[in-house]
Amino acid sequence: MKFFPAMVAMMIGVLPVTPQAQERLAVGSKSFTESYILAEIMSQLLEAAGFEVDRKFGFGGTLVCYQALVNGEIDVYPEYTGTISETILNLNGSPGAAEVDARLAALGLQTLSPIGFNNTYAIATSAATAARLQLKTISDLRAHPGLVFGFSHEFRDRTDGWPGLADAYGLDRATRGIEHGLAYRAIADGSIDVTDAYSTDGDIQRHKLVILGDNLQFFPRYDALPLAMRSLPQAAVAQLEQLADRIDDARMRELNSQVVVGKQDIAWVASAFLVEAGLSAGTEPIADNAWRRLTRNIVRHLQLTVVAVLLACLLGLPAGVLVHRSAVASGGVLYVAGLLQTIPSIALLALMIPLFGVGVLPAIVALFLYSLLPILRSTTTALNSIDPVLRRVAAGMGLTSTQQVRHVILPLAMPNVLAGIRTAAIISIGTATLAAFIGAGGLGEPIVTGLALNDTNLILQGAVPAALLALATELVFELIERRLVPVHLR
Amino acid sequence: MRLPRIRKQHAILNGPTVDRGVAPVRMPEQTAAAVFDSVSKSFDGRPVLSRISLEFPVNAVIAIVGESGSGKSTLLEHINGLHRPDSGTVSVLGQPIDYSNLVRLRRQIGYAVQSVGLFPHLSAGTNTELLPRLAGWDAQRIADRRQWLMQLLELDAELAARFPQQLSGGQQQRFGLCRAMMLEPALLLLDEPFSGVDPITRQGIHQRFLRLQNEEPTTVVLVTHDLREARKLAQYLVIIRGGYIVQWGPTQELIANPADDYVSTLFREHLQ
Repeated sequence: MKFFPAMVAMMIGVLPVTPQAQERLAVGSKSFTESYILAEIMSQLLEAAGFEVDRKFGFGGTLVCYQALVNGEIDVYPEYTGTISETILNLNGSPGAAEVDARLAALGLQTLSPIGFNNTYAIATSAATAARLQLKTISDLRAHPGLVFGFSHEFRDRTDGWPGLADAYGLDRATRGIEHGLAYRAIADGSIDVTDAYSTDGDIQRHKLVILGDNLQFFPRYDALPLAMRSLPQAAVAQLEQLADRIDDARMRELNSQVVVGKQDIAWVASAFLVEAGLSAGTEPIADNAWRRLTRNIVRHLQLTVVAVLLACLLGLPAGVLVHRSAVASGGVLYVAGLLQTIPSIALLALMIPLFGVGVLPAIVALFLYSLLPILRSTTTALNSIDPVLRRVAAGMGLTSTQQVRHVILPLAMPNVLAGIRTAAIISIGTATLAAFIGAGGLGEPIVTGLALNDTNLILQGAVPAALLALATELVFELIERRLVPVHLR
Repeated sequence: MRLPRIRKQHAILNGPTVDRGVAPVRMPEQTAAAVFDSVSKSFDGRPVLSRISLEFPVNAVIAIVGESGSGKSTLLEHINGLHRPDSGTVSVLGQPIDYSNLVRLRRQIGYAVQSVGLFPHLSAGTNTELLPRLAGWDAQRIADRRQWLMQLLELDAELAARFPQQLSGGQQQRFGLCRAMMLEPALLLLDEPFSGVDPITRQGIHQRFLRLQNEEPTTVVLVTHDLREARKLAQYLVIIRGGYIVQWGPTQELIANPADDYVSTLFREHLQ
């Protein structure tokens, strides 16, 4: 198994990238707007100090991002204190800063100073209602039993959500469940008065909502800060420390709003912020050429799928022959390959992380595993469906075993085998769009970013080329079949 | 019709025309083309052939006749080594079969089965050329041989370009024969080669087969369940039932003197 990653790396010509030179740093982000913005701000700040920055944005979830950091794929990414203690370190209650720091140090990690805002659950109401009833804090709600509370389903169930909140504040009343995406509109049309929100949500401003103060400090703190390797160069640490206390809740809401509501470019929003905060001279953010980005994504997408499918052929074709020959092997191998197929793709990708880290390698391994079954099964079917009379004739007429395979078995099996490889390729192209969640890039990258930013345009920039790629693949296989399969077997 | 005749070279007499430094095999004249000595064979514990002893005379047509499941195809497939006896020996062309070098043996034996025997992914012509090409024949020799066989079997030259599916059943069978005859085999094994076509077509193929046999006498072992066909084509009959040989000998002798009730009933029902 050991040579496997090395072989994959050789085939794609890129070894797992660890930043070696001091000047080169990789900044990561999770796949939601705020994380993108903070990561971009950090990137530009580092660039202003002369570092060369790899932007590896859009990792699908905390654990993926954290793995990337531990594996050295990235050097720093924006994280939240509550997430660090609960999700990453699995600490219950509210551990002290000292304990958290010690645990992180043991992992080779460090936190820098908090950036200034706390993105936690919050209770929001419309600005008009707040003004009319003089509402400033959550405690103020107690005096107004007539207000309708509508909360997201998750918030209604979590102990650190409504049940705990009601307990802490003595708010004993019925609530309505409502889809989070619809809650703000429901407030606007007056069907509910109060809902849960994230304190830095960019939509809060758009819908003219206000956040009621958590005067009893019920909600855990989710203070944003850079989470970094301990090996992060001192100059980089100094540069990022400039962000300390620079962005408060309102400011973060505004930045989020500029991207989500104002549809402004993240690089531009980040740059404007840095200039305004006096942290950068306002170098023009390097515009990423759309065509270059598209080409890069397509090339990476092809790398992922082609390498994975080729490897699957390398293993699947001989394994298919083996399965065809031995009833015992056939049971076991097909069972395992079938089992692999049932693992949801996103889960399989996640399972790869502890084994292969994040990036291209685990994506290729996952795609490879997915491609195995169709290739294996079609090879076995192809061989099983060859008329035994033809096999007997081929042997009986005096062809050597090699000649039987070359002139009879292979050409007769070809259509079915090709169909299997074709299926594997098409599945891989589709599944590879999910590889962006573990930082493998490809056409999934604009899709993931677009989903996070609610940017249909961006989603299409990934989805359309991916669909075209699938079509082109069909076409290529059509041509291959035309060349390899005689008319009368098609 | 007088056909241009290519001088027949018996592979066994002139040494193999083919392959890599194999010493020529000399066969004493007048020997049987194949000899079964007390051959038994079972599949999964079920006996298929029981103590078969037989001689196949040189340059005669020998028909193996029996009901389906009687073991007649299995018997045939012992001659080209597709099966190996559990006990007893099979000798072909004067020597016990060398199971470590079956390819050499098989290239001296033509083999045709029903019509499905043609490879569907190759044109009829390529089907016939495959083996001689792999055996190292030059293109001219292959072309001449094929042309001669096709004329004898009354196959139009243009048919060679077609794929098996584009040919009629009768044409497929004739190409199957043609392919089996390409390497000028000393022995020809035919497993129900003329079944599955209508009686008229069948008559025609029988005519051509006899003509071929007349032009180029070869030891032919023919498996069939059709006694009329056997009587018409074969000088010798082997009657097999449940893996045992019930009776064998010259065709006319058998018809005149059936060994037991089974044989006489068989003749009465199928030959009246």
